[in-house]
Amino acid sequence: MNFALVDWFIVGVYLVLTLAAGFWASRYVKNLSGYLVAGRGVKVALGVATFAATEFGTITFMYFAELGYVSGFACFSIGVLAMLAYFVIGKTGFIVEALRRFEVMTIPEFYEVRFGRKVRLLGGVLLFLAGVLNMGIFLKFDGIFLSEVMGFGQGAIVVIMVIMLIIVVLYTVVGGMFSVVVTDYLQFVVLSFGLLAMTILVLTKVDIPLLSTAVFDQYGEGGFNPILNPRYGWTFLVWVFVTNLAAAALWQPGVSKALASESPEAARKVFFYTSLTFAGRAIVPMFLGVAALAVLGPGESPTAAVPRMLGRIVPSGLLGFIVAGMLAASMSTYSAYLLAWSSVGARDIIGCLRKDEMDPRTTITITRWLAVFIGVFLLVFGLWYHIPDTAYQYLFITGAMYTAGALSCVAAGLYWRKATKEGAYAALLLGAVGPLGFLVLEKFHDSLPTWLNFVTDVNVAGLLSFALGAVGMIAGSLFYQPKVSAK
Amino acid sequence: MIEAAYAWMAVFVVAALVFFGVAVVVAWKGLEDLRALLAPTDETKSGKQDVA
Repeated sequence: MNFALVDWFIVGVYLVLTLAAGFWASRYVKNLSGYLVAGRGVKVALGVATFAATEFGTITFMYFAELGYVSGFACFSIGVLAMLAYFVIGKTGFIVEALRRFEVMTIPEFYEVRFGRKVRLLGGVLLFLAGVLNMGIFLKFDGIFLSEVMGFGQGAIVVIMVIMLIIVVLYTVVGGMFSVVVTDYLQFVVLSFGLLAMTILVLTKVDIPLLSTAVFDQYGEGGFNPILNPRYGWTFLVWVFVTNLAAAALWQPGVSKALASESPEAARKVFFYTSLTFAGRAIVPMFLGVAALAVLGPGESPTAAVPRMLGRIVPSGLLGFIVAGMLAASMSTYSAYLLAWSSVGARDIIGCLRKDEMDPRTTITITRWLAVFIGVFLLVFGLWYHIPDTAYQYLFITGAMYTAGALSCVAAGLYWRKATKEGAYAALLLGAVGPLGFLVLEKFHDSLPTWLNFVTDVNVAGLLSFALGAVGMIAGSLFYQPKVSAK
Repeated sequence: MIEAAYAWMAVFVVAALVFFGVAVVVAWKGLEDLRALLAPTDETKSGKQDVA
C-alpha cells in the first residue's frame, strides 16, 4: 500500500469538507430554477471554475493519459483542436448565447419552443441515453486510478466506486445546482493544485531526450505526427474538431453552466475563458502518459500506467494531496452530470409524457430519484461493460449519439428559418444511427460482411453521424416545408 | 525526432502555463463571485425554504 496516515488524513478532511459544503449550499435552493440553474446568478469567474471543474474529471485525466501512453506526442494535437473548438464557441457565442437568451434549463426545452413537444421528447430520450451511457464508464476508471495510486490493486475498485458514488449522490440530490457550484469551486481549486504538484514532480523525474527516445522506439514517426499515426489520421482529426464544437455548444452538463450564468453575455464569456484551459486539460495528462511510457516502458496496461507511475514516484503527503485533487475532479464531474441527466429525464422525458404540467416540487422530487437511479446504474454498468477501443473514443462515440443530431437541430432551429420539425426528427434519428451502429456492430466485427466494416471504425462512424444529422435536417426541412396558400 | 519532441514540449509548456494561470485567476475572482451568489437572503437567514 502506497498510502500513509498523513495521506488518509488529507483525503478524509477533503471529503468531509466537500460533503459539508454541499449540504450547506442546499439551504439556497428555494425553487426549481434554484435547484437546476442556481437561480441564474452565476458570474463569469465562478462560471469558469465550475465549467472547468465539470469538464475535468478523473476519467478525463485517465483517457488523456491513456492516449499519451498508447500514441506518444501525436495525441497532443487533440488538446489543441479541443481548445480551438471551445474558443470558437466562446468568441462567437454560437448557440450558447442564444440558448441562454431563451431562458431554457435543458437543451430539449428549446426543441419544444422551436419544433414542438414530441421533438423535445425524442431529443430528451436521446440525450438521456447518450449521457448515461457516456457516464457509464466513469466510475470504473476512477476506481482503477485510485486503487493503483493508493496501492490497493484491482480488488478495491468496487469499494472505492461505491464510496465515491454515495457521497456525490447525497449532496447533488439534496442541494442541486447550488451544491454543484459551491463544491465545483472547491474542487476546481484542489484539482488544479493537485495537478500542478503532479506535473512538477514528474518533470523533475524525466528528461525530454528520454521521452523522445521512448516514443520513437515504440511508435516511430507516428508518435510525433498525428497524420502518420495509425490511430488518428485526417478523419479522426476532423471528427475531433467537429465533435468538440458540438459538445461545447450542446453537452448538457457544460451548457447548464452557461444557462446558469447571470446573462447571455456572461454565458459567452464563461465559454471564452474556459476554452483557454482546454489545451492544458488534455495535454498535461497526455504528457504524463508519455512520461509513463518512458519510466515504465511498454507492456503496461495503458489505463493503469500513469496511476501506477504516480504511486511509485510520489512521496507520502503529496500522494494524499494528489488523490484529493483527483477525487475533487471526479466528484465535480459526477455531480454536474448527475444533475444534468436527471433533470433531462424529469423535465424532458417524464414531464413530456404527462398530460398535465408538472409542478416544481414534483419535478425536483423526480429529478432526485432519477439521480439515485442513475447512480445505481453507473455502478452496475461500470462493473460489467467492456470498453471497445480507447476510453476517449468510447466517450466521443456515445456523446455523438446525441450531439450529432442535436448540432443540426439546434443550429438550424436558431439560425435557419426553413428548419421544420420533420427535419428535426430526421436529424436526431440519423445522427444517432452511426454511433448506435458502431456500439452494436463492433461486437460482431468478425462476422460482418466486408462492405460493412467501415461502421466498426470508430472515427468513420463518428464523423458519419454528423454528416447524416446535417443531411437529415436539410432534406427533412426542405421536403416538408409548410404550404403557403397563394393570394 | 528530438526536434519534434521539443516542439510538442513547447506546446505542453504553453498549455500548462495557461491552464494553471487561468486556475489561479479564477480561484481568486471566483471567491468574490461565490460570496455574491451566496449573499444571505431573508429566507436563508431564517432557514426557510419553499421547495427543497
